[in-house]
Amino acid sequence: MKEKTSGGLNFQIIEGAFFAVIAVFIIVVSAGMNPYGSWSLAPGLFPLIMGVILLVLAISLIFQAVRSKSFKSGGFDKVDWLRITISMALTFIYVWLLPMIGFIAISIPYLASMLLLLGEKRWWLLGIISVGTTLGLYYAFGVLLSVYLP
Amino acid sequence: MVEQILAAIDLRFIFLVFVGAFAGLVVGAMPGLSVTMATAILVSVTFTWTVNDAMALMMGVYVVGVFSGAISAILINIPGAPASVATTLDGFPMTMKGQARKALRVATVYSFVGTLFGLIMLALLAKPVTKIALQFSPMDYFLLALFGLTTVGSLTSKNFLKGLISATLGVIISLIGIDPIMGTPRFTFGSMKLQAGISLIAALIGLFGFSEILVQIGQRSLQPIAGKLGKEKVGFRQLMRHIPLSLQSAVIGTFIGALPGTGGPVASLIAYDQAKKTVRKPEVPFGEGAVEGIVASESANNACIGGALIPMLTLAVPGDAVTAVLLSAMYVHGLRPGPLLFTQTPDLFYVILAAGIIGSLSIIALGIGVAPLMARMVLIPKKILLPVVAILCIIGAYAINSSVFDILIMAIFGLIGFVMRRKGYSVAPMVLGIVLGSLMDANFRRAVSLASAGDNLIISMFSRPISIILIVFILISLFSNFKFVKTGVRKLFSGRSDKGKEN
Repeated sequence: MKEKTSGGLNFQIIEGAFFAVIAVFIIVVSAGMNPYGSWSLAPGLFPLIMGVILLVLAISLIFQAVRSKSFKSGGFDKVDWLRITISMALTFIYVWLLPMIGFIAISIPYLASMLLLLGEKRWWLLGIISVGTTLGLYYAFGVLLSVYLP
Repeated sequence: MVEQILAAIDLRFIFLVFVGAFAGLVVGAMPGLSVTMATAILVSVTFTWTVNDAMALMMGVYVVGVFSGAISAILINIPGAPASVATTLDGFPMTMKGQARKALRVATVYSFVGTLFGLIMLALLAKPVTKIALQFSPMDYFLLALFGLTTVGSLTSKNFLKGLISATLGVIISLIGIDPIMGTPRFTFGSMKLQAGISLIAALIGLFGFSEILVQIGQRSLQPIAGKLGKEKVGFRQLMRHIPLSLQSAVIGTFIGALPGTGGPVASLIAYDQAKKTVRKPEVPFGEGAVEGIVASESANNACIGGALIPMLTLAVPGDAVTAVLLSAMYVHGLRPGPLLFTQTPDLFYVILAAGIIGSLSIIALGIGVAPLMARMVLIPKKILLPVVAILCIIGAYAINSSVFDILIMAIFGLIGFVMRRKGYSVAPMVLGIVLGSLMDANFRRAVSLASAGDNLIISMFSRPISIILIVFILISLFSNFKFVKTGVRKLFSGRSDKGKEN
């Protein structure tokens, strides 16, 4: 199957450039981590080396892309971005509200919203799964395994 | 020795191992619930018990917990434990082809073989293997970890370079937090929460679990069923065909397990890589549902149990996280693990062996009897299964440290894993990088510090025979993935076979 072009951009070059930027950032930050003057035990030594290795790999990735001459799409064709965005947003809201309203109060609406998002429309099933799973997990973790749940 | 092992076994002992084994099955199969966590909880529960009872329960959890990591790896592509990462590579593709039952059966049998092999090695080779492990210098540990990382590059489906980038990023991520040698914060940017570092389990659940959920959610049309159990029967002969590969992997597992700090994830990945190189004609290609992949991974990670117990019992140096907890349990019971253990409490060695053997028999009983019932979860429609797995990921990430921040870490790594998968970067090397990063960092700096006292830094660091052998392994692992080397080797062999035909 042929790879689709995406505006003539080879995404692997962009990926390589992205990793190169991260590598340079790691190198710069690590270079400053030498509070004792000697590099042999300096906290920045190993991150510095890993930053250089990442930079070499990133440049190699760019070279590989240039040499291959095939323009690859981003690999995100046929992705339902709306669903991804909503599920990530729901998860972040869950993280934000969990300490405030507690495990049971946030898990039931979270599960119900996720089920709705994925197309489950039978309200009784929505109720059974979201309430049943939440209470089951609360019992398993909170009671049996003594994990503190907010 | 057999008499001493049998002397430790009675009905109560068997019952306790089996209870532990059942707990291990549940804990190991549930993503986010680690065997280490369960064993740690058991230390607090069993500290008033007799040593034999406590060890029976904990060994049951340990042995079956390592095996049951394969159940969720095979069924939902989420390794129950880091040691089962390599099992996902072929286990989940088998589930997608409707061969989940077969994959579980293979995992069960070869986990049993691996565990038994590791325990036999523990009984026979405890002292010789420990002598070799004792000779490893910090540089050797660093090189061993590096070797582990280079091998995972070849596990990534197509692009070796992307595999190495993933591994390097994993190592860098592992460096976030307080530096273990000097106590200096690194890459924390003033955040107190980052000072403890990135939680491995939270990252693991995110990269494997949550990212899989996002991949499935992102599909425009949700397939009704993730995979099929299948009714394919695996005959005794068909199962036994892989015994040589299993033994090869178990040898790797035992040896790697005996090296402190490495353990199951490294052993299973190296064994998987070796299987890829040595099995010439797998039933289907590796990574697409090859039974051989599961055989290698499960034999190796279970053989690690016996291996990890070797340095723990003889040197009081834990081979992995669970043996570290077992070690602390021994101290809680007033025992002194190490060379003195064999003179002061020699019976305990046989108690542990006996518990391990009963635990390995429990793998067969539970793996064949209970695991297929767990496999029914693949029959649940995706629109119901995915939200339930999502909440399992959330609570699994939270349960490690009772930290909401870990849920956030899990979600972020889920997103990273989703993007990586979509762009052709395998997440397995990143996980291994996170696991091994701090070990590599500490040992590398120790090695540099030790070598800086010598005349020539490079010669001091790399001139030891073990180091040279490991460097050769690393170079072979790296170069064997280069296109021109692959083409050259292929031409060489095809040339030879052509000549053979002509003759």
